[in-house]
Amino acid sequence: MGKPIKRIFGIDLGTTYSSIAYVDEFGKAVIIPNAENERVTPSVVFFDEGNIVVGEVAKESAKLYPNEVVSFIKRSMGEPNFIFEYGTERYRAEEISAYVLKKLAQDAELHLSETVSDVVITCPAYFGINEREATRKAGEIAGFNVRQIINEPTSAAIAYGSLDTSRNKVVLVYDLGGGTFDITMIDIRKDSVEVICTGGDHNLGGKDWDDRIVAYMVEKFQEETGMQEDILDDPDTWQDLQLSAERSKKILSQRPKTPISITHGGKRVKMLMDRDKFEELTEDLVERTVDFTREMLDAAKEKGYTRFDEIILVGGATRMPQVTERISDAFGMTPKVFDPDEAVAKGAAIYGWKLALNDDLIRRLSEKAKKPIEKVENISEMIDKKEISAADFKKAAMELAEDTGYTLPSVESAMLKVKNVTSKSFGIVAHNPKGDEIVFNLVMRNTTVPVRIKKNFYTAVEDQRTVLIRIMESETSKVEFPVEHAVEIKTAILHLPTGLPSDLPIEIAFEINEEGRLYITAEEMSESRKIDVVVDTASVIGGEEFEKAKARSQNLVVH
Amino acid sequence: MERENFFILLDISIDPPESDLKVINAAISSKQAEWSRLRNHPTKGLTAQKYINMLPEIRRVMLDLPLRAVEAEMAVVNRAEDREGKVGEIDRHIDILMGKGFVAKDEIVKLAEVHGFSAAEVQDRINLRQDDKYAKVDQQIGLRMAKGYVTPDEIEKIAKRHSLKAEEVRKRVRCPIRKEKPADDEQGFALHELDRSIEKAIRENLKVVGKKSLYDFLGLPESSDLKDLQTGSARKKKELSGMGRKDAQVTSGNILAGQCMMIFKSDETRNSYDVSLAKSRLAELDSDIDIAGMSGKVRPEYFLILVEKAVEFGMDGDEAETYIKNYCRQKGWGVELPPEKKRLYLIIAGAATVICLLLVILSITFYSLNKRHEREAEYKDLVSTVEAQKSILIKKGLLADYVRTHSDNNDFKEYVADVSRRISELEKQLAENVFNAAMTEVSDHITAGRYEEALNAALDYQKRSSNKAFSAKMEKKAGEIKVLIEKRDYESLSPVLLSGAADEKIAALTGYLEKHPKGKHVKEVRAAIASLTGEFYIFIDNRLKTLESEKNWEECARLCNAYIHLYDNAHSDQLKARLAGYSEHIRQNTIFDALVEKAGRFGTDYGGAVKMYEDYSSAYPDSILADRIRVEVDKLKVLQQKGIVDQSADRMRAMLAKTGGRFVEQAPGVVEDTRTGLMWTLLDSDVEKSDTCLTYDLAEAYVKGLSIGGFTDWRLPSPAELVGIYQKEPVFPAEKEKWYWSSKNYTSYSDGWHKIVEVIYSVGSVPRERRESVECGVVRAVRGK
Repeated sequence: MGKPIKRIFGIDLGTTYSSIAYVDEFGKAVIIPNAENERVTPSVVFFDEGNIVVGEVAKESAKLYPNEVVSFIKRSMGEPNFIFEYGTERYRAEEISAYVLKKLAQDAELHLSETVSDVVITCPAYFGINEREATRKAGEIAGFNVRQIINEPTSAAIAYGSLDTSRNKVVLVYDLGGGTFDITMIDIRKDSVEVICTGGDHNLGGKDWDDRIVAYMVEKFQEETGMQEDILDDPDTWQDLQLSAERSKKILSQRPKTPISITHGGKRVKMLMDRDKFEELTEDLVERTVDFTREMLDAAKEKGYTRFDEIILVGGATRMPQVTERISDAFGMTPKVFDPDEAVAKGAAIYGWKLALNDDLIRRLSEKAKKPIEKVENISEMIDKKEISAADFKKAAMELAEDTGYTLPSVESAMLKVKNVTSKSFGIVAHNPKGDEIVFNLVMRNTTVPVRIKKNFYTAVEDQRTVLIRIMESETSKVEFPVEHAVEIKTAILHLPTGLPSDLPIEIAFEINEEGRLYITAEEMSESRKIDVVVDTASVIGGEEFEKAKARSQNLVVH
Repeated sequence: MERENFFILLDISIDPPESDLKVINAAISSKQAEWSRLRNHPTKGLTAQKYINMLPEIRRVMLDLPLRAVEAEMAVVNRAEDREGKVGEIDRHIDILMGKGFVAKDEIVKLAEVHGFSAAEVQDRINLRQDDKYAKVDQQIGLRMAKGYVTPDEIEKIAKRHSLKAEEVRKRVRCPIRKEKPADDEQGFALHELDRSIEKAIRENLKVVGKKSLYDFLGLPESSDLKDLQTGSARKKKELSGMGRKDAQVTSGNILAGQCMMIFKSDETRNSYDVSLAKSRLAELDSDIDIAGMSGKVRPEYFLILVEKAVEFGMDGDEAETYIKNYCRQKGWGVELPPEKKRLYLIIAGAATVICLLLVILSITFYSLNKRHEREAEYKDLVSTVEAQKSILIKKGLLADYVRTHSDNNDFKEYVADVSRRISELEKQLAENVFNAAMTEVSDHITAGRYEEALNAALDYQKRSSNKAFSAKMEKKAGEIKVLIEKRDYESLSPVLLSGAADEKIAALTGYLEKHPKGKHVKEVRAAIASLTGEFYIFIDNRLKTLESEKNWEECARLCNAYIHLYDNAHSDQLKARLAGYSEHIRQNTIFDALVEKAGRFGTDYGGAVKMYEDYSSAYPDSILADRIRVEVDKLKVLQQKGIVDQSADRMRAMLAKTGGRFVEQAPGVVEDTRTGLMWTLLDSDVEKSDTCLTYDLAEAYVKGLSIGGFTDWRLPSPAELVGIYQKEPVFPAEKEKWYWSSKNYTSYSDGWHKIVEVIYSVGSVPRERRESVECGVVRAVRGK
């Protein structure tokens, strides 16, 4: 037996719940339970004087210490102005998320007696460039080597595809999580998982259903007691109602009725809520998901995908009966509820496993070829390009299977190709012939990544020292549109060498990689000089702040 | 959409505006933490998110002195507007308290407290309220819609009150119109109420996007077809999903678009929204009861008014009483019912209403029989109402209303004719009254000696009046007044003729002739003018001497013309000759003005304007305008230089913006290096003094004399300071390569003593070198540290 391959863990970092998974000796993805022996951990952080507490205990503490507890932090990822203040310290969303990640890793280490260092973290397909970057930073703050950020629906599709690879199928992944909604069309084949189109809203999730119940409870309380004050102004009451709303939602997904009691200011109101009422309060939310789905289907049509074989439901919120009902009604097909809480983490683990096998195969192949082979994600491409012989590959795979005890087919499945699309369009600020500022889109949403776009800019004046490029993210497929409809995600500053003439062409390349990260490089064309590009984004933690957060987190034990 | 004022949002002092940056920064930080905490609040989350996203803007405005000053002014305005909004509410509350005939002092104090006004302001509102009208058709319909239906009776009543046709009122109603409150089991009447929490959520989200209703949100009128609303909703949804930013407004918009899709799904769901919209107005009633119960109990007078209000809101009497009593019981307030007598009265009134209702039903049964009596009764009723009125205008108005609303119906023909006859009688009477009033006014003016006003009043009447007999009378009166005016004007001449200067005499005399060309004394006046021929010439001759020295050619010409116009003699010939000279001067002035105007059209192209002047000067080298043109050209050259400076400053500013915040213009022309705290001049000496050679000595003098941005303590920078801005990224913007004098100098000997100075380059490969102090260099002055 050679040395076992390095494990890469898959983490589903959710708005309300998170979980971690790995692939076991039998090549099967399994969830690692936390220290409380739960398979999912609430993504809630409680600052308890010197201690950081994450999970169920933190969630329950919200009622007693509402000002020391942070929930739904995922919704603030990539929001530069969100700050959680505790004592004299100020925390950004990335750091809080890092604590959740740390908790998952610590408990997994305890369970498996091995260190968690390399991870694949998932994020909603609908996350933009900054939100993805923030997710990666959260991982780095927690001390991980973040191998990749992959999309939740893709991850779910990998988990789903791994069960049955006997036939090709086009699947709609309807992912309604605690805080986000993604709808994605995925083409699952024997050797590839390819995203066709994606859409959604990262401000639409189970929490919005909870909030409707909260609002209803407040109304009932006021009706019964005649108190006109807004009882949600009291943080204790707010947290109490928030928790009991979530509980009621879960019960109403199973049963037709649930009792609810509301206590505030020494008064208590008891009531019974039924499913009809619940559905009445929230039907517009379901309707919005249907509308997003229709929109995405229209976009898919333009790519030549006019039909799909299955709809699978992922995410805890899809347990609400109204979702299945409405989806069946709207698309004439009964959706399958597929492992709603765990599919994403498991898919990420499988993806991580594939990366690990890949690493190992490359190592073996370079030993065979007696020359170092640059690490690539896709060995199959190298075989296609004849950089590696198929025979060598087969041999290496067999050795690996023998050394580790994995079956050969499962090792060969490391060849699985995963193709993604960008969920947003992105472009740059330019001037139209009238001289107005507009956004000029370079990459349209739903373009397959990686993608590389080049564009020439010209220096305006002699000896120009810098070029400023404002990079804009949007959700439209128009080429040109007003600046107000996009959000500025980064600015790139090119530092030019001295003494350049005016009107000199500078070629700027924008590249989005498989994980949806944006890279910018620039070259001065006359002498093919590479130009230094500094990308600045205030929306994601960086610089000193990042280092400080990292140091703060390093020795921290999360409870 | 107007945004919140940052002073108000941050909760910091407006008056005087907070200026301590420490306090402002602390306020921003604490709000940031507070909003972040509320980021996921079930009802306030979106507003919090909106504020979080506003933080960069808040910092930009509040940490910048001029922007903050503007914000502070706006805060005061906003606060005032906010108070405006409260006025409506306070007015309603005043109406309630007025119920007992007056508003007590302590009530005024309490009202002032509740609404944040001063007691004096409340008193002002009370005075205003006494004769203010407030009923509006739409509001009344809206309130009646709250119960889910409107009765034809209610429509009739509203129509009558506002002199409208019932059909017009009916058009505005958007809920079922039915005779009676339907029995609960009645088929087809199952008005589904919108859940109040949904209603509230809609309201909250509308607040975030700054709209009043879902109709307003879709930009469609409330009377739109359901189809239009559906397409509107779909369009809105699509529009929003194309938006890149997912800020609070867009999120709220998405939620509202989702609600629109549900609410405008069918007429039924739409109805329930409309009704809930109306019901929310009922909340006003609650706040009225709150005011009435301020002291812990509701007085009987208030109770009656509240009942009345509630009836206005569409409840019936019993419903209203129950509603108010229940409300008070919940609040723990006592209700003092009106004394038994009044109760009895109410019961009787109630009974009367029932009887009336029965009668109406009866009358429908005997419709054909009673219709005629009814018409007659209505006519008689009208006549007696009209006769009881004192004002002719109101009488006429009542009658005209009758004609307007009944002339279409043949059944009323005879009454309409009779009413029309009454109207014309009233009109005659009215005309006479108007004439008498006008005549009195005219006579009053005459008695007081105000002949012109009297004449105007008379002419005015003639213009307005269509009555020939009265007009003729007034015309005769006007003639009399004109005679009076002529007499007065002629008499007023004699004092001037006795003691006035020649031009005053002439002015008075010609003034008379102009005003009364056919006056009784024209002959005498003409003779007087003729006798002044010598005197007026001497006067003019003297005056011209002064005016010539003042170069007031227009006045010279005017005087000459005045004489020439009146007389034809040797003097006037002399003046004609002089007039020619004056005219030439005026002509040259016109040319000069035209030149100046033409120069103005060059705008900031001062060079072009200079060239234009120079072209003129070379074409007319002997022009008497030469001196004045030179002055203009000099002025333009100054501006030209300033233009260069301004452009240069603009270019520098544009480049400053790209230094990543290192260099910031703190005051006009003064740039702070945020890294070192040093302040630099935006422009160097090269821009302003490009044509002078700035040796080191001159450079030192130049720096000493500088006054920029209110600072006078400028100095030459040290070499290290210059290196600090030109060679440490991000560098101070530089338009081209220049070298700058530094403060470091020493004397050295080679063929005599020389002063050597260290200089620093802005860009280029040679960072620093030494130069002789007699060379021509550039200064970028610095201050601080």
